[in-house]
Amino acid sequence: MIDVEGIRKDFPILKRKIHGKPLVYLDNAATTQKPRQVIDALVDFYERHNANVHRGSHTLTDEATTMYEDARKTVANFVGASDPKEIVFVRNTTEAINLVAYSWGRTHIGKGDEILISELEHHSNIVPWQMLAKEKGATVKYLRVDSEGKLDSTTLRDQLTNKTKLVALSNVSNFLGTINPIEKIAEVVKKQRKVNGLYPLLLVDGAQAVPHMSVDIASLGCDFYAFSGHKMYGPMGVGGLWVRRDILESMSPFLTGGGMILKVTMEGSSFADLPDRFDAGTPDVADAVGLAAAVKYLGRIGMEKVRKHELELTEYALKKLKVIDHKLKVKIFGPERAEERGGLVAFTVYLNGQEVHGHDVAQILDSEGVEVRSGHHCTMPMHIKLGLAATTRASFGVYNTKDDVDRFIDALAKVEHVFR
Amino acid sequence: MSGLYHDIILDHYKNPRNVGELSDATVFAKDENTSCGDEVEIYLEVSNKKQVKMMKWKGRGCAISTAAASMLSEKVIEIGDTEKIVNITDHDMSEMLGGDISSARIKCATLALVALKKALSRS
Repeated sequence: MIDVEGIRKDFPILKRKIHGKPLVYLDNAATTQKPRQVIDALVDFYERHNANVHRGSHTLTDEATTMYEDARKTVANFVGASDPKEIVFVRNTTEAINLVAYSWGRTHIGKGDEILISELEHHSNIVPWQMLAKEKGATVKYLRVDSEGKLDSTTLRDQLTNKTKLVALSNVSNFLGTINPIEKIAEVVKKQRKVNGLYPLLLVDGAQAVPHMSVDIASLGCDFYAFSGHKMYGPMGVGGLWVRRDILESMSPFLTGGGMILKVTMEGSSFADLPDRFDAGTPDVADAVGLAAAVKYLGRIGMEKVRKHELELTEYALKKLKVIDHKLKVKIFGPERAEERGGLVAFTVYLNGQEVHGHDVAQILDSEGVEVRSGHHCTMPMHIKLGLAATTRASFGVYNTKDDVDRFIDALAKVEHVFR
Repeated sequence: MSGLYHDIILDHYKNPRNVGELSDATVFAKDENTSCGDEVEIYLEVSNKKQVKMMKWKGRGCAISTAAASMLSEKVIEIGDTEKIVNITDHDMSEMLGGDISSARIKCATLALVALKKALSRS
């Protein structure tokens, strides 16, 4: 049982009013709010420890560098990475995936190769592969999912060929909420690797997993794992990319310039070891420190408890949405059973049989202080497949309550009132 | 609910004017907001003297984009003169809809106008 009331007191923004009503923030899949502890860590860094990192000869540099590398250790520990040097600080999940496409993809994907993703992926796990495939004459293949967003493991096995170099999938879908069984998927991928040799590798988009459930990368069996700091109560400028040590050692740099070199001469340059090789320019030290504070905050709550809390809210929301059966009807997407989905619910709304557009639903909810998101949620291929122009999505976080869900349901009823 | 979803918008949303196609349209244009799936098709009958004689439209979208297209079609038929019609601005659309259009909904409010101008540029 988490202490929701205690947690809520830690988040200053929850005191805000939206159109005169207390804020009910249900857009956590897009980004999360920040606790005082994270805000204070940022302020503390800038007020007392700010300096550039690496190879400095003064106290402040020393402090900043220590805090930066401590942050790396803290984050590595949290996601179950055995070695902090396997964690690259990036801006967000999108940058993490772009980094893999650039630094690993460009030297390992060739003509005729295949990259296997799914039709449910977020654009950040689609577009970089499309771009890479186009450049290299490779092909992107899309695994089909069922109506609940689940991958068929036989389909995965069937779609793996001796040309598959990479499989890239989400841990939890930001649209349907489907939780992918990564360990099982990794087993299938590794079996194929025994046949092929070195490939395929497995990349996991963990943006919607790390903030909401316990993630232990060491036991997953994947080769790349990406996540965003701002989706886990951390600052907006930071995220993490975990790469299996031997792969990361062999990867060429992403951004180049200062900080990631050993030696620069007019004839050429040599590159630094891990982790510096992937830290070009002045890193976002402040946000890494902020992320460490967020990780500690979550650690104090306990990720099992976080998951349990959000699962309860999701179950409650699903139950209440299903009984809306008047002139107003709600169609829910994703797994029927709450325990098979992350803490989010995407849906469409119908009044007298006609769809009320997501924008209008979201706007009416906003007028009641309830913040949700409507649109395609960066999953256009899946929306097109389902014949949907837009859906509305409510997504939960540690500070949400059953009362929030009640407010959300009440606000939905207003849709009927407005469009009567 | 005050503000955005007032009676005039709701009326145009529920009873949109000038919906349909023109089989003998002089010009046609289509546009969409890919971010949300709002789409609109504009059919215009324009005389030799550059007067819009008829406008019809079809579309799928939110209350704002539907009401905007409906209101715009009435305005266009009323004004007639294409030289004046091309000068309709985003701000004018916002005013037509009651002025409460936030930056989040401006693309809904102006979709029909964008398509209309596309059509006119082809005539």
